[in-house]
Amino acid sequence: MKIIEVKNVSKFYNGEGAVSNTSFTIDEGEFVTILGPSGSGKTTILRMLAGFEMASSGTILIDGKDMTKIPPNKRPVNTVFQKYALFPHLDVFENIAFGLKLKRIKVNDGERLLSVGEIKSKVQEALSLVGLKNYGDRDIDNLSGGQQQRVAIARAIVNEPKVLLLDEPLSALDLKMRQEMRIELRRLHKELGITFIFVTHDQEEAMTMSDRIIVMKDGIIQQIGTPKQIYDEPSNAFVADFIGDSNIIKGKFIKDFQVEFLGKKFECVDKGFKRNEIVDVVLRPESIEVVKKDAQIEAKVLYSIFEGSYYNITVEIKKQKLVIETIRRYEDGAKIGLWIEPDEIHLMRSNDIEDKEENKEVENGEE
Amino acid sequence: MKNSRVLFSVPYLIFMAVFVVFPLGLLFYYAFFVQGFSLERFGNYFSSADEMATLFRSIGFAFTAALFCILIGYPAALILARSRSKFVPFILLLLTAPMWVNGLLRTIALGELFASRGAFMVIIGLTMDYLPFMLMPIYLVLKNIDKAYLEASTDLGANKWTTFYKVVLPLSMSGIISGFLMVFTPAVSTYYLSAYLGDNTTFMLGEELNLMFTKNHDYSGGAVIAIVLLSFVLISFFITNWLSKLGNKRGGII
Repeated sequence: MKIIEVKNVSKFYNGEGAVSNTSFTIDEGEFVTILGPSGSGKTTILRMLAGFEMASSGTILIDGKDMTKIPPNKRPVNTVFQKYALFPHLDVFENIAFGLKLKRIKVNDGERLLSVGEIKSKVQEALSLVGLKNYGDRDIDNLSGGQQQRVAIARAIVNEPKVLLLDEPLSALDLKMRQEMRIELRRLHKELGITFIFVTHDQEEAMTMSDRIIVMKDGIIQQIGTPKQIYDEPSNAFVADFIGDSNIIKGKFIKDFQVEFLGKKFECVDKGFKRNEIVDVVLRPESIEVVKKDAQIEAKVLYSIFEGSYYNITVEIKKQKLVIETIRRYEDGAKIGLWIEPDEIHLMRSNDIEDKEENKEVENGEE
Repeated sequence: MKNSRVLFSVPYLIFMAVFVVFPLGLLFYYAFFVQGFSLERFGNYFSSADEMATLFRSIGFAFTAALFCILIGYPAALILARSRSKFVPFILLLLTAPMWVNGLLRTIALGELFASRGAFMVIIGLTMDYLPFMLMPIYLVLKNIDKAYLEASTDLGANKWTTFYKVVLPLSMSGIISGFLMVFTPAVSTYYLSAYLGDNTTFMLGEELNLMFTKNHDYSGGAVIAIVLLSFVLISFFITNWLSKLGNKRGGII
């Protein structure tokens, strides 16, 4: 079932487009990440789903109802804010109880507020769900960043929203805490079974947590897909570059299943391009193998960087630079042989990005 | 190096000694020690119905004026803090404009304008004089409230009014408290406002002090009132300090 339907939504600030004619749907129970660099419009989309910003045009349906012009307090969604926005004048318990105290539940003869006992037990439940059982009477500023994060999540999910919106919630945490919270968020998503929409600029976060990723740039969706689809089959050079390290080089499509780049012909798995069409070739650093014999191509090592569990070595082939991930180190200046499996070669139309840019200008012009 | 630093503080120390410590000493001497140590004057003061009436009248006027300042200043501060207009600094400047005019002149003008005297006029005068001291701290606190708190509140189901009294008001309490004390403390001992705008029912501490020292030459009686007033200022100071610590802990600023 579709829980979120965004149809042709645009958002303009003073005539400038932050989000341009965007459409997508999200299924109930999905964990979807909106990924993009700053200024890509990802946060604007989240804020339009929350109701903090109203769309300039288009429609937003949440749970089948038109929510385009509905204020935040009447939407079945809750938000975890980037800097948590926990109320400093209230303790942990009161922060989490904030929404519950305002909630009206339907009974036979109308509506009623939750009782003190009901609120107490719901808050306790939420606290133990995020692993802060006995923290109810703590002051907010006596909590660590990670604990504040958990309180912010508890404050949102205690209201049993249909959709939980998370606005770069991990960006204020240190690396170790961030990794912990990723696992924690996945667990919560599984336990609660509700839809999570997560906004981030961190591709690693997006890859490790999401069911699907929406990649954005300049207010336009570049690609929607599972982490694997987006990594393996990026739709354009921007996505390929943004999702992990990539070597993107120009190539020439010879015929189906054959492409020429770096002065050599390679077997590949792509087809359907025009004969002799110039294409972008995406080669992931970990998919280029260094081989002792049967090398397809020879390269000169320029330098190596130790990355902890592997080396990133930069090599040169015909004045083109490539980055390769290897387990062992090679001397600067060494000649090495390379081998690339056909299914590790990804071809993209090289004018994809320019096309999108032109579309955007047309759309802006119409407005 | 150390000696030169001590040397630098000498002018200030002399100033303090001559203009603060010595007069304070005189006050205490007149209040307690004329003809041997005695608390009798304070006993008399606190048991005199007239004196107490003046004291509580002064407190009442100052308190009422501070309340008026909140009622006028808070909404104005809220509008200014929320406004995105580039004229806000100019408007803030205008709000302090009355202070550019001599206070005595302003008071006389106010009296002429309304052509009436009495308790109400005194309170109007106090409110007009001290409104900027209420508005500014409230404005600063409101301006510093992170918008994310307001968004979080609406996100959790609160409408505009609920957000105001559950989030904005508590978070701006520190501004109200410091504004209150900045108005109340000087207002309680005001002199020319009650002298020029009041009538025979508005006799205040400031006027009484004037009477004691310049007309009756009752230095001991005046010293007692001065010390009572001083105690008020000190108590206000400690309350501000204590509340602002509380406010800081709660994320407010004073």
